[in-house]
Amino acid sequence: MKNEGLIGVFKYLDDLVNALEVLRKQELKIQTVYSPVPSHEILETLGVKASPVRYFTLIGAMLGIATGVGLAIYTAMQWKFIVSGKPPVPRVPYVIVAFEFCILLGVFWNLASMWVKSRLPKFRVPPSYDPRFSRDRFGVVVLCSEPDREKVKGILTQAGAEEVHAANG
Amino acid sequence: MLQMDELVRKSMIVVSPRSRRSLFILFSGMIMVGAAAFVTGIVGPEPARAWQIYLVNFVFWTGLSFGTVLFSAILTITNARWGRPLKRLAEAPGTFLPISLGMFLVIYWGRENIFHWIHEPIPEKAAWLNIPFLFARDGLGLVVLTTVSLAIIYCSVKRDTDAMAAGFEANLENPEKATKYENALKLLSPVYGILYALILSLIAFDLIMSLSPHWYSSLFGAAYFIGSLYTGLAALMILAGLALRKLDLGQYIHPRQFHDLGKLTLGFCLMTGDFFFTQFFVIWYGNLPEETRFVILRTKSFTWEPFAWTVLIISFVIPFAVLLSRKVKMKPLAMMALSGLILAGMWMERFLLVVPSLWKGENIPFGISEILITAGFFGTIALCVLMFLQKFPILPVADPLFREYLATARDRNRW
Repeated sequence: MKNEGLIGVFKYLDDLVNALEVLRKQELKIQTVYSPVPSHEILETLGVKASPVRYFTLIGAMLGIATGVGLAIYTAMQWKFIVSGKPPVPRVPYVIVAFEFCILLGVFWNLASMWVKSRLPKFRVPPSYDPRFSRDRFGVVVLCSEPDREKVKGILTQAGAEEVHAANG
Repeated sequence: MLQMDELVRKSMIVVSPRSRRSLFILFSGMIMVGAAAFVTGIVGPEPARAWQIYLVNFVFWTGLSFGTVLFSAILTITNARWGRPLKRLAEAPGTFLPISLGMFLVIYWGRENIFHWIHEPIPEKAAWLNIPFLFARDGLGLVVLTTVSLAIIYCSVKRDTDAMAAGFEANLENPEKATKYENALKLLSPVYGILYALILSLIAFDLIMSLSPHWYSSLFGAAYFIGSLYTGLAALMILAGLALRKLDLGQYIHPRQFHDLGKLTLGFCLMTGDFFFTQFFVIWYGNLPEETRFVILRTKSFTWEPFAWTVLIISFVIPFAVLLSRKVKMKPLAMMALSGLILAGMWMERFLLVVPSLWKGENIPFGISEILITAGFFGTIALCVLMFLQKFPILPVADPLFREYLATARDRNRW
């Protein structure tokens, strides 16, 4: 697998997306894309399906509502919290409990599913990773065989890559 | 590269003369029918019915017009680029405001039918709730707010017409004059934002809350002006959709505008719902008779309960659920339909706030005369928008941030 990939480093998102469009049109294999910020443009260009994390967040949020309302009803029944002029199990204030639990469990499930989905924590940094990709640069790793290297290099440079170098050093 | 000639040409293209004439006849017809229905209503056997629907429409359409102008002010305050293509459309309903001022004065003749505290004065509130003071403070407030809105619209439009008269390129070279208007807008917009909150709160307290003079809720004013911005955004969405589909402005109004406007609408949907719940919750908890009576009448009485649930569902639950989707926000037709629903829901909300305080009958007073009077108000504002967009460029052609937006908009973000 040595020396099979090329990394293009980009300063601007638009240049990166232009490069991705050309690469995909020519059916070259994009191994991964690094970006310091989430971007819908990158996902759309890559044709990647939206992450399932949002569904887990939704499940967590709904579980949160159920837990909040359940806990409130259970405690009210168990300890008989009778307030004058109010039903034993009032619905109105439970909206707030439900809302808070919805956010809380939604966040927990979101975080947990994101960790699982991204297979975190990772102790070994991928060789193509560059600390700049977490700061202010975008990167794309293209897998290519020896004869294609010049072509890929040309595409990346043409699109506006600041530098293009081999993925494994 | 941006083609300025094309832009200027497009911005002046409006409705074709033929459809303009038919729209003009349609809206004028609506105004005349509405006015006739109103006049027959107030001289007829049930003047209270005519006056209450007049008040409902006054608070709804006036709030909506101030709300759309606020959108333009917000763009200036935040230096936003994304919404610039919608700036002129947002300013268009502002032309209704001088007329609305006249409509406010008409309420004076209906005061006996509208304000119960004239017949049964409340001594401890008499210093605030008396007719001369109420009309003086509300009239003054509306005059000030209308003047500031018109000044904002004037500066914004004048910059474009000046630039177009001077020849576009020349003006770009010499931006001194344009800066004058820009500075005026930068000064007026924050002032407008603050006055908007203060004066619309006053209108809500005086023209809606005082109809049940024993009832009070300190958040009521905020709920009204936030709800007005919500209706303003929904109206703007419909105008943007019409500009896109009927006036062929797809080159300048992109999916991005709909997406962002949709996000903003979702935000104000949540805020409107939140302000409702915040008031409701405090009243429910406190359980004080003078506070709960207002709510019980609207949510528990045989007449109003189904109506109240309908309002909650169509002005909050459905928009909230639909606007969660990212894709729907970028579909103009769907967003126009949803905005129509929001406007209907918020109109019903105003109806629910005003009418039960005044109407003592068994049934909901909604019939043909209510529909006609509402149509009259709609015709008035629609005619104002049509004539304004007919006369002035529909895009803020000389706005530097609008040009910056167009220069940076990428092909993949277009239709």
